[in-house]
Amino acid sequence: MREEELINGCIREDRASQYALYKTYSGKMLAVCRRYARTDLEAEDILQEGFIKVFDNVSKFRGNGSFEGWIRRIMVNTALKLYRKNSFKNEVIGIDDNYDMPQEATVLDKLSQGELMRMVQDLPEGYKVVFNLYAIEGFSHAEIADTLGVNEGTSRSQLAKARKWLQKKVIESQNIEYERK
Amino acid sequence: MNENRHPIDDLFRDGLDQYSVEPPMHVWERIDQTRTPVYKLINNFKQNARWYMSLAAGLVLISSAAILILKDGKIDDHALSQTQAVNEAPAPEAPSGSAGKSEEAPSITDLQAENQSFQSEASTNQLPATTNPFRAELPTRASNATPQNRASEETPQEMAPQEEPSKTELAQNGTNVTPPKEQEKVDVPEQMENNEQIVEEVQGEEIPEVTEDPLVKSSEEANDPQPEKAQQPVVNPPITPSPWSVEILGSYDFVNRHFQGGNPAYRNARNKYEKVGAAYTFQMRAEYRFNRILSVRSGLSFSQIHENLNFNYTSPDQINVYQKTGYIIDPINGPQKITYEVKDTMPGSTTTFRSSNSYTFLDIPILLNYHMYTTNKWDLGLSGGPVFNLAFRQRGQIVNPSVTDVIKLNGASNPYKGYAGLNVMFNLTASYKLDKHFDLLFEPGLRFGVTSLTNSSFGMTQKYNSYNLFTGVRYNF
Repeated sequence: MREEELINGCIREDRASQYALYKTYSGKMLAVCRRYARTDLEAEDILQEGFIKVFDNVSKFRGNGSFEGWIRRIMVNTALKLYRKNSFKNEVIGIDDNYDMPQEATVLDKLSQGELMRMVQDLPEGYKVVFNLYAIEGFSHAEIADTLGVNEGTSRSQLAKARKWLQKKVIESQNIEYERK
Repeated sequence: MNENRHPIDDLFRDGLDQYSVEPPMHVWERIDQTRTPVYKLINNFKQNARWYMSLAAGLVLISSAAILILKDGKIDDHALSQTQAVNEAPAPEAPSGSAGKSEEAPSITDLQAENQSFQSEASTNQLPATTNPFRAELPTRASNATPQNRASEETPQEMAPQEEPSKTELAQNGTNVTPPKEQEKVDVPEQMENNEQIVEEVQGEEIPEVTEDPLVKSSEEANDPQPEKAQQPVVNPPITPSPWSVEILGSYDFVNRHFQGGNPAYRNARNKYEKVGAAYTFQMRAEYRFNRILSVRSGLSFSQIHENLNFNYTSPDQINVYQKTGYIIDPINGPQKITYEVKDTMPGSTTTFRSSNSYTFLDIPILLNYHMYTTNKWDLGLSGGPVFNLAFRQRGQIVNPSVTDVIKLNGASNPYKGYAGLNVMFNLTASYKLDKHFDLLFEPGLRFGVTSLTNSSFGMTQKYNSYNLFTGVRYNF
């Protein structure tokens, strides 16, 4: 079924079209939700609430961008709404500046998607949201500051700490191999 | 932004942008449930619950105000009925020699017509007007109850025989007024005798004390020469109290929670980690009393049950296995590429979940009350009936079915319904009369949950039974 047919079917509230749309995008969207959620159950809640919003508002999609991008934006907004509601306190963790070194792409390429996802999920909450919005969704610091209600400086600081934290994890992952050798 | 790109950003963006994880089937099942018209209706009600509650509260206020207004109207109606009773009382027959116009007692319709006519004349004569037309009507009727009275002002010669005080009045008032000689000839003694007999008979009996009648008072004040009508011994009906009353009650509740079905381990975990705390109920009811022994009560009931969650979960050690590629130096064959497994063991961590949960019910009880024992001060009754839920809200967290995490009650995984269904309530009501209007209420009662509070897909039912101890006041209209 073509994307346009899917959208029209969803506007008519045709259950088959809704299910087809869900099957098409739910996998990718669950991955998006997991990057923001604390637990898998919370990610499923975000996915459920997000798809309900998609079905309720599908008639408002004007086709200006990609449909997948529109759905992804709804999921991210739903996750951010939950984040603001829970108002997690940003955890302060110690980061050793020694880890702030450029990584070679050849080394980083060896990490699987599952490993990358696990690292993002393990990020402290404050870092996680800023890193996701900036590095993956492509938000600017001004947009992040506006969305989360923080200063731009806070956003920059959180991003830097997130990068350091992830670098540390990547290096630790690589060191396992070195130790084996 | 591009100038600030970092290799870490690129790594994670490229790696995760198209990453996909197959969601479990139950997510779609839950989404699919929300597409039904019934769910949409309930969801719409949930979203507008505050408006509905405000509307219900407004209706209660308007009803209360209406009852108060009707109460005032009831007094006036009573006074009016007394007036009509006097007016409709059988008038003594006119003397045979009187004018033909006054031979028959005028009907109430005639009186009202005359009364209206007189009122219009009074207004043109700039008589003091009363703001309440209902009340203003009473003295007007009393002082001008008959057309003869009006005629006496206009044509005294025509009404002379009617203005003559009867012997009955004279006897009752003890006034020694000598009637004109003409009247002695004209009045028929038979009628007078009959009247005297009536008076004697009435005086012989124990006449209930006649309440102060605005009609009689007005007649006296106006020196209205209508003795036949004003002095008729009319026995007023007793003023019956209004059948309506309103009650406001509050109760501290002792709540018992019941689980049925589902996994026994999960039921035990819920009972272990979630403890029922304080609970209370407020009710505002109206009562309508059909008769001495039977009444019905209904209104709004607001209940809240608090629970405390204190749950510690220790996750098992997590062992991650990675496939790695490396080289070994073979002394004979040189470096050899091998693939091997790496086990990364992460020790389990303990997570503590603490939450203050609350379950809020907005109900409409409809209770039939049987008044078993009634004295001047005390009333003891048994009441019972259904309690229909209008809205059911939950806050907090509960243990999840796998006893590894919590379910947030404000999330999409909330297993509770938005509508708590049906309860049944039984009360023993003791009321003590403080004064004419106010009663003190003591009302122990039981409330049983009939329908489950959880969705059927949750697999386990949850109900509350509560033991209430209401105290409150009742206002009788």
